[in-house]
Amino acid sequence: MVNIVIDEAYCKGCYLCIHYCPKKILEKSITINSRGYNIPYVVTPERCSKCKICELICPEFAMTVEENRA
Amino acid sequence: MHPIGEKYLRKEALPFLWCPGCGIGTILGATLRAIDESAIIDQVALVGGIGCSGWIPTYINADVMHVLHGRALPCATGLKMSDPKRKVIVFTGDGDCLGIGGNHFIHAARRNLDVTVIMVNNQIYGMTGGQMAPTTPSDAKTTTSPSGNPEFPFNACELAKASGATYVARWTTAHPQQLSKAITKAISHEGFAFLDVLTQCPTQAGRIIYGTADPATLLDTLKSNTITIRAAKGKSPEELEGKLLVGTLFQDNQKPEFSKSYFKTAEISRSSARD
Repeated sequence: MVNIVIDEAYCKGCYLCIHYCPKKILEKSITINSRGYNIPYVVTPERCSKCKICELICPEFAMTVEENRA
Repeated sequence: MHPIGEKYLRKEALPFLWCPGCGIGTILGATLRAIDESAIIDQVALVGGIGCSGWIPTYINADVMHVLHGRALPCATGLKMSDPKRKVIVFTGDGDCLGIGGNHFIHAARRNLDVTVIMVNNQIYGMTGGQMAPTTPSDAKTTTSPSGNPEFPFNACELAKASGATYVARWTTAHPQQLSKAITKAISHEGFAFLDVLTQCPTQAGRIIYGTADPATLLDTLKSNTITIRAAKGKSPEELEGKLLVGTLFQDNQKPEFSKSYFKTAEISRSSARD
């Protein structure tokens, strides 16, 4: 069971994660963080392929792909 | 925050000063993964020059120096020669390394000093507002070339190789996994290791040269303007026109490394003085 943790304290709303997710499971949410950015959210976490491109590309270390045993 | 950040970053210095969508954060992530993979955090000495890239070491919880514009390599030389067991990693920009720092760069490479130089290349002087740099493409519009750049850019990797560097690689922030592996290789390489890392710069190069501030568009442009060595095999010169090669471009493991040869010579002259 994959849990994608998005640290809204650090997100600067660049949306590179949304653009580069190969499964297209990230989208802009309506939640605005303390910096004033609409942070991304995971639409369908069960479709995550754990490629971790979001982790690698995020310039703020705000994305973590956690694998929890269901 | 991602565990690699929790492990290595100075939390009290956060948030990063870089613009939203800037590739420097990606480079910092790749570097931390390489340092983690090499398990060298207790031996590293990190040096940053002046410019946005020079701030990279200041966020890492390790021994760091933030030095004058263009003088990261002489400081790195001092760090390495005073304690050759140190793993010295230098973060410099295209202006810091090839402009004001150009002379230090060619000589450090000529000596084959055992340092890893990560040159963050946004093809412009970003921190000062977008002036043309030694790596700005010809005809590009910048604040100091409003009618188009009349000069020609350096090919930093060719310059490094010609000066005597023994590990030369080029990657972009669109290749974070390959970049991290290349940094790991550069750290373990005994000699002058140079990485030209092309980066998106939404605020300066993006708006001024490429006409957009959208990080994703800029990163896509970077990826499409480059081609890996494997993909370039068998392609015609027309197909490769305007594309920069990425990958490990040159490696030489035979050339003697500077600190070793320097201290060997010093020992020879000391023993001949004794006789």
